[in-house]
Amino acid sequence: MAGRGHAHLGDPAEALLRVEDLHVRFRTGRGTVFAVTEVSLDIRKGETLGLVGESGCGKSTTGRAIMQLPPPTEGRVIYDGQDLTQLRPEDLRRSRTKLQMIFQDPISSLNPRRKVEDIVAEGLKIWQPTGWTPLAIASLVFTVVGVLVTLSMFLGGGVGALGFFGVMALLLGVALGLMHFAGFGQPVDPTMATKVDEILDAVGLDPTTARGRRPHQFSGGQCQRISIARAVVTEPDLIICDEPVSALDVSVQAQILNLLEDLKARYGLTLVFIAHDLAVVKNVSDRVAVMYLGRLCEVGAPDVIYSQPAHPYTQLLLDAIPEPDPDLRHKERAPLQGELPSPLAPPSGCHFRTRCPRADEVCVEVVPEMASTGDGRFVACHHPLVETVVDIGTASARG
Amino acid sequence: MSAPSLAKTADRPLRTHDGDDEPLLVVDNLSTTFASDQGPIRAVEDVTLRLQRGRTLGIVGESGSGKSVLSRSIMGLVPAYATRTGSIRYEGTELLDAGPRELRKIWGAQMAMVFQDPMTALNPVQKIGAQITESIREHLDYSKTQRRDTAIALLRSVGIPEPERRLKQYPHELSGGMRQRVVIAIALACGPHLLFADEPTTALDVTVQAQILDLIEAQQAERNMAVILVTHDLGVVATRADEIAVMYGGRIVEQAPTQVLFRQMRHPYTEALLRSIPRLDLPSHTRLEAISGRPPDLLHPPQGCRFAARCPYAQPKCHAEEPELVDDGTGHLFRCWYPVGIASEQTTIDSVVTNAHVRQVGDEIATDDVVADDAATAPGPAVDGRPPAAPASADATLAEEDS
Repeated sequence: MAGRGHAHLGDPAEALLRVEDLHVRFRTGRGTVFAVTEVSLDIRKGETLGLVGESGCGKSTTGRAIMQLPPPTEGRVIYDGQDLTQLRPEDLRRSRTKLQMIFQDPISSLNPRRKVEDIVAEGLKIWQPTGWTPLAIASLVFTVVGVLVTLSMFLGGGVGALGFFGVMALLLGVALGLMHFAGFGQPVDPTMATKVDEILDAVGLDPTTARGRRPHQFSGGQCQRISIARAVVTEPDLIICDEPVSALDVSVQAQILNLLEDLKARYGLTLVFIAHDLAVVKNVSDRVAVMYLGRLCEVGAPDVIYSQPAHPYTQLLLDAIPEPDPDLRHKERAPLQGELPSPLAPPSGCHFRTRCPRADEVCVEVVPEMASTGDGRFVACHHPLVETVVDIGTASARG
Repeated sequence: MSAPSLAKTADRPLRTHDGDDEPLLVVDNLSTTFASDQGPIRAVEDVTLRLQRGRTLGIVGESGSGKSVLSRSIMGLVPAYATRTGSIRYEGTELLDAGPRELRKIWGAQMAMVFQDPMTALNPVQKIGAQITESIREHLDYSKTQRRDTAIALLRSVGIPEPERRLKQYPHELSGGMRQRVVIAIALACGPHLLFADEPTTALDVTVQAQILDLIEAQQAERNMAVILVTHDLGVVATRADEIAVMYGGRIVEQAPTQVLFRQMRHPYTEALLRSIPRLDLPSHTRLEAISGRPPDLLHPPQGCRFAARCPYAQPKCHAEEPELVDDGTGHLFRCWYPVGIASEQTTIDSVVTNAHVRQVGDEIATDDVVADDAATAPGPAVDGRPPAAPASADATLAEEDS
């Protein structure tokens, strides 16, 4: 947007997850950082939504706010009929198996002390039904007996040898209980190991060799495969990929992008793909949302946006990309001038107006609303490069 | 971008005329070997380069290809446990024999480096002004006012607004793009003849990247400075470099003028690298052609061609014998037994391409990048063929201290 509005949102029935008027603000010593402002998005089942923009534009914050890491300051995140921002912590935890995340730095996002099989299986173990194992029963028996004996001795007056045994039984019961909750004595679920092997194989790692190794024994690309395995293993509906290939070499980047496409088809995933590289985003996305300084600029199909950008910011962003073609040396381009304004005091009206070649008084006064350009793309700009059309159906339906 | 009253280098051995045939920089058979616990790591092997004044050489490769070590080796910013052999002549002076005292005279004044990460290249506890004038204090006999004026002119020439105020600021008060401009201003302070830009824009956004590359280009034209642009991004060098050297496993595998390299690439690695980049002009969901496998282990380099294990066109000869870097007669060098697009090999190569392509797309997941066994036997450098972390960080520290 550098704007606002809901015109670009599709039919709620098609949306797997819907974000409405999301605001994220951080209080700092120097004032309030307006990280995300009035962002509305819908993520449709089975699609890849690319979220693109410069660093500091709020794309990662939006992704994290969807996951409630941390919860947004204002706004709604509707998934499966529920507003995630209103859920109790326990219910939110349950939703996490269906909403997963892949992080930018593949090496630091894996615990270096754990084996690959444990890293990948952790999500499964958390949700394994905790049954009455012998350890749990023993713990309960010792605790109850211990409490009863100790209490009866205290009530009876004297503290004898029996009382001592009572206290010991109580302590033993508590200790066994702690061991139980720490995961000891749980039957090793054979299906879990199979599942881990299957996922490791799916992400292109050889399960027999990879299972017992630790992250430092893998290259960056392989670590990213492990991160992907960890996210996919809980059979999520939606994976938020936060710059998953930015830290990788181009050749490895291509492997990981292809892998994500394959896994998406194989497991029926929906992806939110956050990246600053427009070419990468174009390659994987079904729809692209361009962000600038916490607001949305333009949402639409990548082929439409990239061939004919409607927002001046998108145009400048595309012009800045170096193309691997020496003949484009003298291509006409006006590089984006100036610096990103401080998110502590974003400009009034349209956030992009301070650097926009088309800005005028209206842009200072009024925050632009999302409007359709008629080709399934929506732009929030008072002076778009492609004429907007008034879509009466959408306008009246959404008010 | 005008740059008033910028520094003129003090005791520079000036050339009397411009029609000089001797290139600014001549590198012959340069090899750099790091000593490690598990044996020598040949990070750069047998590199020969020529660079004229005012020209840009792009060095392209993946991490671990030796591209950064090459530029640091030329400049002399390598740790003590690195051995360099061959010859590096800068304006006729042999740099390989130069001692620390002589190198100090050259660093900053004659050749300078723009480092990759502007967050760590600057001293966090020193004001910008002091960092910019450091090399001026070292090399030029300027008064305090002259130094200040030069620093302001430098900051203005790299496009930093309000330069007077910035001099008194610390690096953390500037954005990433601004910091990289400061790093460039520091490198340009004494008007070097040769600028090394080691991944100068990797840490930056595309919009800032375009600004920074334009800036380097403008400064280069103004000062007739030679630039060595080190990057992993073929897109960055395509429109900026006059000549490109592609490195793989410590060796130059292909080298040609930019236009020629992109139009008639001969080495399968260059081709694979270009194909693996997502292109803006292709529709979305276009399948990318990934390079399967991983870079070679420089501790135990393979016997034949270093790219053979990942090459779709590899023949038995490729695994047995390493090809020489040959010139096709037009100044286009490549190191390959069966170069791409050569008429005599065309038919065989075409058939191989088709087959290779089908195979790659079909079982990418199953074959690519399966954990290799060497990873367990040799942790550290062997895992992905990179030099161990120690040399890299050691030379970064050294570089910071000395530049």
